Amino acid sequence: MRASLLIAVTDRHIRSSLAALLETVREPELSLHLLTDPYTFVDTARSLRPDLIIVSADICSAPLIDTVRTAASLTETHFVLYCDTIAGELMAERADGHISLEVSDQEILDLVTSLLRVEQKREEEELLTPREREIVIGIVKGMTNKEIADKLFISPNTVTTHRRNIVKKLDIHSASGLTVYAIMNKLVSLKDIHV
Amino acid sequence: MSTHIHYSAHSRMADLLSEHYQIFSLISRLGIPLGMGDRTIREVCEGNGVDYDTFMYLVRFDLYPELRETMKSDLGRMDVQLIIDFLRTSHDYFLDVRLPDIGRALESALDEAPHDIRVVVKQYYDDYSQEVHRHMRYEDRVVFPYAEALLRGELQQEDFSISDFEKHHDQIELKMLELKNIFLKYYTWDANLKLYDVLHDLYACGEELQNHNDIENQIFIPCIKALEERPAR
Repeated sequence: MRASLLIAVTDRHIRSSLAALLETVREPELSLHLLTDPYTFVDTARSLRPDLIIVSADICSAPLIDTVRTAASLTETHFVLYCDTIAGELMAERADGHISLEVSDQEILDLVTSLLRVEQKREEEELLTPREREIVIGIVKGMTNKEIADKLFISPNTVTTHRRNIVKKLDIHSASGLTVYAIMNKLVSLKDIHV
Repeated sequence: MSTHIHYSAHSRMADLLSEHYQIFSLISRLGIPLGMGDRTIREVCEGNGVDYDTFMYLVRFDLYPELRETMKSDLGRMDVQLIIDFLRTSHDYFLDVRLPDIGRALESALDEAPHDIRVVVKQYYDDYSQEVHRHMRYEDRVVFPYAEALLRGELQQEDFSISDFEKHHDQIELKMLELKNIFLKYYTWDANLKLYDVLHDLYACGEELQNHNDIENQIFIPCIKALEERPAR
């Protein structure tokens, strides 16, 4: 899957040298977007929905990231700040990462690819483990945590942990949603569940 | 690039609606009829007994979510009864029209799907509709009458306050979006064109419900809180 990246750095030279550097990235494949007019930052971010934004602190300072995130509906986007002052760097601690003139090319590449790799990993992790599948089956059969725990010889706490991971992986929060999931994936049949 | 057009009292209502079709749901639930000719927003509002400021607040709230924070200071000018009437009509619309329509369309779209899938999806949707029903009727029967009594300046029982309600006010749209996600990710059978239509509806209705909830949370609840804090007459 291609990852999209928006470079919104005011200084034209820094912008193009960042672009030249990031064009060398092969894994993941990147589509780069360069913002030339800083005044269109929020609108551009909103329409592009990039996976990662490198933005200079004069366009979007660290305390404003959350506001931009909300305004442009960018829940999944990583923000890396380009800072040209020490004060800016100190403020940037709470961004997903920050870079400056002092940072080497390799460090920039590592930062960008690691942030984007987390994204890919998250997708791979969506498959349930065999144990998690057994727990889903228990849930849709209407068993309590205790009953599931007894059947699988694990503690009820472990069941709770598994349930939390299942919710996270599948993004399904209700038992009735899990039932639909389980039927669609043939984990159970109709006679197993009380409809 | 998107541009915010700032509508004023003298803009034509028909222009507003031509440019933003989502406002149709607003005017229908406020009882504003079509056939408005070239009348201005203020004229149409006044002609139909709808408070202009409240109407424009709802319009801006809908069109420009990013301005909601800054709009808060205008909440004092709201016609709270109009908001309550609007929310009640919205509930009737969701419960009597929107949800049953989607339910029927979903059933018909899954006509050729495996039997077990039809059964569990129908079960899911029926359970969900029941939940929305309970959620909205509770507001109609308990929360809105409480707010209306406050508006009339009547003393209230001590065991209910709008903050209690706020704490338990669920995001009713989540399960609608969840169903859409389940189809998106796990439905591996042939999907007919009707099913795509239904998924579109699930998406749209999820957003409508979310918007409805936002109006309750960010307009209705703050207005009632202000009334609660007002010294008793």
